[in-house]
Amino acid sequence: MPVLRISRSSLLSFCAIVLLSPLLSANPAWSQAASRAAMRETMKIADQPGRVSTKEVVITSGPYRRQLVYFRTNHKPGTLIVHTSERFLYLVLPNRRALRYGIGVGREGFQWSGMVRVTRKSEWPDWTPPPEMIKRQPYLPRFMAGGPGNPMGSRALYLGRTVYRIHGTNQPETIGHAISSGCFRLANGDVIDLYSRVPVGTRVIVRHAPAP
Amino acid sequence: MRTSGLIAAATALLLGGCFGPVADTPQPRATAYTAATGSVASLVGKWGVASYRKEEDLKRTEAMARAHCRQPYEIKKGPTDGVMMHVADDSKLYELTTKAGPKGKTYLGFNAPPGHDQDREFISHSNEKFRLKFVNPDIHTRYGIYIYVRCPGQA
Repeated sequence: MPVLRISRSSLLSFCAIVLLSPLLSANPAWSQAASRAAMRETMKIADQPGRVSTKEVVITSGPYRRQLVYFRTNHKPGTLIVHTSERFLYLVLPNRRALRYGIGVGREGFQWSGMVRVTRKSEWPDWTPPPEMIKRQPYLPRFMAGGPGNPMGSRALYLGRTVYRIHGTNQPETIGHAISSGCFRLANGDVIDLYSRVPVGTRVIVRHAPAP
Repeated sequence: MRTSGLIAAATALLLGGCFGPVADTPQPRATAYTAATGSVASLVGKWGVASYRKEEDLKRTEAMARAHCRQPYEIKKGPTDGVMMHVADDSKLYELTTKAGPKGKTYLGFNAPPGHDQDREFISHSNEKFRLKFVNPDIHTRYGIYIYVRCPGQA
């Protein structure tokens, strides 16, 4: 069973509470450095609003399928730990276990690290295309209420007061990859599972460096 | 004699203009389908655009459409009797027109039979807002119903 060890120094550096505000997106200078190697391997796929991926889609094979793993950490059970370079999200469980989910990481997901809390949850969340997407695809609505064709997928966990979130996707083939937009995405069926396990107030820790 | 010759020449020119096309003037296309009265002109302008699927989302979607007048969708008059708009999944502008279909329905689309696969049906229509539903069920599932709300500051 895979083992992940977190050194005390790494733990201390990522335990620093970083209260991110919406200003972060307007102040690139505040962005944390991300793994350059992880960012270079960006899957060349744009959002596909309107494409339907059913809520039943779950990654069932390969390294990015949801599975129980051996996981050593000082964080309490119930904590979410996101490893962007590995494309995994861990839900810490008792007895040195974690439920591990495969994720896709968007550009925004590489731009910060630290700790926030889940402040809100939403089923079939709404989606607002970014202005640059509207320029490329002017036929898009400027706001899309939640539903099967929505790129946010079946569920969303909103992080702090930031623009970042953990959400589903209508492109399950992007799981395990770095992608051009979005934050942290799971296949719709997997994010529904995570959603059911994670209450508002859950601590979320984001780190970019690979496990030692 | 000279005057009558001039009058005859002028008359010939006028009659020629009546019976033949003048170069470089866009010709109205042959409209095979009855356009809903006044509906095309009322589409011209700047609109806040949003989409929804469930009726319970309509009210807040309309509010979001209004809020997105900061990035409006502009509909301009076309070269003939239609308006320039997009169809699904295509970034190119096309001239579309309104068409009266059976059962009192009105459609927006190409010069093709009302209810064509690429058409959208008017769910509601006023000078201040209108809603369009894709005739193609797959496209409707993917994009939902579009609501257009006229942005303020227009006549």
